[in-house]
Amino acid sequence: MNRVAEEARETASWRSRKKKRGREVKEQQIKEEIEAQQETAAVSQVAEQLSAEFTADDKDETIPVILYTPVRHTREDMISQEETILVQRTIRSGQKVFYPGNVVVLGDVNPGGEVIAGGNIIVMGTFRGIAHAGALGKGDAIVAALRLEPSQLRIAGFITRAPDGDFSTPFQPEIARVQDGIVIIERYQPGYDRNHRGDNKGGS
Amino acid sequence: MGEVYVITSGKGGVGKTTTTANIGTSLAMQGYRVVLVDADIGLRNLDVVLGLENRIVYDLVDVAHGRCRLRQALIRDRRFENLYLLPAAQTKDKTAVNPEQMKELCAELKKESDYVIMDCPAGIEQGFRNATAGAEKAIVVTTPEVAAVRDADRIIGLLEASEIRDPVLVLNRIRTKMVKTGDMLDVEDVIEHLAIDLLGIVPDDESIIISTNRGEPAVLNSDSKAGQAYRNISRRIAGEEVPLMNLEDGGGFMNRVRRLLGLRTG
Repeated sequence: MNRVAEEARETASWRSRKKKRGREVKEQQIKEEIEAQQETAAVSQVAEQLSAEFTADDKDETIPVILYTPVRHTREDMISQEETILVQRTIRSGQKVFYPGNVVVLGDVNPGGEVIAGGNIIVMGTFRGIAHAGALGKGDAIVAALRLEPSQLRIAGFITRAPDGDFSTPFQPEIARVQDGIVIIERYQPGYDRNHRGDNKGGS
Repeated sequence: MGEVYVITSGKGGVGKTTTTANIGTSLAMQGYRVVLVDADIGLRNLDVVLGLENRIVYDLVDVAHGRCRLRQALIRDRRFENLYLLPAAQTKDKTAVNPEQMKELCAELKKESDYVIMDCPAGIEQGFRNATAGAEKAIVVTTPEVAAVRDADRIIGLLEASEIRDPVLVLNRIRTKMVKTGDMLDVEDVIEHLAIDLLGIVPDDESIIISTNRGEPAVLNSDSKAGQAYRNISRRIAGEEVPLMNLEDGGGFMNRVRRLLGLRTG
């Protein structure tokens, strides 16, 4: 590892901390990313960061990444949150689903698995992994699961984690969303969306 | 034409090698032609567990590099003439062979055997890729511990990504007492979590330690509970329907009566 690369890595340490499992990203890539990020606006910054992260992943054969978008994202693709994909499998440890729109999983999300969506996340099963809804800045995104016990739950810029120690969640569908700046989890009630999210009915 | 199984776990120390040795020996007891392959190059153990350590002349790396013929490297078991071991090299490391060589090797081995069983090293790096390259089916071994189950989940994900479909699970080292008191995950918890088919359960058994140290697989010992469990597992591999064994040890009036009458309690 040469010195230039080492410096680049140092500058990027805030970013690598975010990464799971010490993934190897080429030094040059990190440097380019940082330069690119400095030039971009807040929203597209998130988008590029995500796309860079995922294209870097793509090269690493050992980590199966389920990438449902073309490698080269256009700005419109990243911002579009109208589309929804259906994932008919269990997301296991080390696997990752990323999609700029909504994600529906028919299966479980196990610990160590990640679902990142620009829109909402709905899991017809148990959610034990990491959820990031509204990853491109959509603050009114929701995460819903038949059994919601994520190790970490992020909505747009808000992050919460599971309480330390033993805890049990009721065996009932639950929904997480942001209210007054904090992530709340409550029992899912059909039709509840209409009351809480009047300003963005058509969206997703 | 045989089938190639890989026995894998991700985490170390959950009993891959013990499981390989016992399933292999038990299949050989049933009369099948079995080849056990130690894919843990650099940290070979399977030969020790089988008690064949001092017979090794050539190894897997020699075969892969064409330094000897396959037949020269295969070691016949002391007890069963239809059980063979292909040992790993101890002086090399995992990079000494590549997945293509392993594929060729497996194709060659399965021509003349009913079962080829590969002992996979811990981890998900080159050793894992080598071991799974030639395999058609996978047996995932785990223990009822959160860390082991987590790693098994990761491994199942990686197996799904390769060409191996529908891996099955062996849950090893179950302690009935701890499960009863709620201090250990029970079978249902693990199955619910990993969502794959269960091939068998194996109780935690001190006789395993004795048998591995002696180089005598536990399946040869008719008193060993773990040995009984492995015999059941190998019968299931061969296609028999065998109910899961009852892990309640000793206790129970009926069990004692059965034992007195010489009936199997498992």
